[in-house]
Amino acid sequence: MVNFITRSSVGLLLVAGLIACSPEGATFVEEQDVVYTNYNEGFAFGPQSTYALPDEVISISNGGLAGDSERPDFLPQQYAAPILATLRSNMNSLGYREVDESAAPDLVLLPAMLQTTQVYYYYDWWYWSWYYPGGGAGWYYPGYYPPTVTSVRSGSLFVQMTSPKEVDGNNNIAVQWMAIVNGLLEGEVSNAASRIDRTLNQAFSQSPYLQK
Amino acid sequence: MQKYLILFSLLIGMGLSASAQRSLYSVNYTVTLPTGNTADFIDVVSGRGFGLEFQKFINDHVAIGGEVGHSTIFERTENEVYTRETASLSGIQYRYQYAYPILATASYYHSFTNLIRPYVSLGIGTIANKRTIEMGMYKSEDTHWQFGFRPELGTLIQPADNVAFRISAKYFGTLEGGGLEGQSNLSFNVGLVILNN
Repeated sequence: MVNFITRSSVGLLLVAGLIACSPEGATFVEEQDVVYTNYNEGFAFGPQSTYALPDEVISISNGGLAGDSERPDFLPQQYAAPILATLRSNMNSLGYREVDESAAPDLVLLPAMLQTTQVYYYYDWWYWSWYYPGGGAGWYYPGYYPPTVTSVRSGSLFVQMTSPKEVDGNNNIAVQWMAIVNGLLEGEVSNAASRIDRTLNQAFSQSPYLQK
Repeated sequence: MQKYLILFSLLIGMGLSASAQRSLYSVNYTVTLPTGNTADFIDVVSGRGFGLEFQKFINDHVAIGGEVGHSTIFERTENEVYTRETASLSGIQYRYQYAYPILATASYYHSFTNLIRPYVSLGIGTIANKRTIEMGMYKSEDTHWQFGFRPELGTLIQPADNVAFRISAKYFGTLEGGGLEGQSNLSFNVGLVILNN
């Protein structure tokens, strides 16, 4: 019997050793990048031909409130430039032509970096009122809903594609396509540009309906 | 002539029965090969598993008992887009499935020689399948209790009266239930068996 107990103990030790081998998880911060896209199924992207893109990416943080200052905070150009360049190259290769926001574009792209832990799908219109052609009062998402998550990682990029020609009775702007790229501002700065490139390209490639 | 051979074999079998063991314990190391719906979720062979078995002989050849175990299968998926209605989500996923079988077992052992004792076995009971998906900062985790069954083919290699080694193959299957479709895998086992006379 003692012999049996000894042997059982050895067995149990082996078992404990096996349990201790816990499986792998994400090691690098870029492995946690998640790309979410959604769109208005009733909107025909094909007939649209022009788009406008601002020179800045808005930075929305927990700090100041909408309307506190004359203009919102902008992302430093070291981050904003690659974001805008990637948006531009994807839109161009899809067959859209960039025009000035004053030249009645069919589509407008609005990139914003959310440096908070809250999601603002309906974030204040004030952030874009300085730029948006024709003005507006807010957003709406025709026929679809943004994901119902209550928190995001700090530094998520949120891109809205709107059509200025479609506003509802309350002067709300229709968001025809949206993309959220999670967690871009975490990790090393030197790494950020290539991650922005990869994940934003992914946002376009998983949205084949944008092709003209 | 054949009749005599059979009779002879039976007599040898009876002779052996006089020294048959009354119970056995065993600890097995398990390698899991996912099949069917399980392979659709994770299609990677895993060596993270073990099983514990106890059986009591009710006659010379038949033993009944129980089995508990644990196995982990894991896969990292990349470049996959998950689309639901108009929404699409992509990112690296870490998928895990943990299985915890708790089964009643019955086995039939045959003895060609004292050394090699092949057997067939059937287990019936429940298998808890816990599925975990990690994606970015998000994690989902669900445990599904399902009806499970497990046929097994194997052999004991018994160099001494009280100790044997086990080599076997098992097919674990579950029926749809607990919010998850039926799961299945093949598992290959090597183990240490302690026999009590």
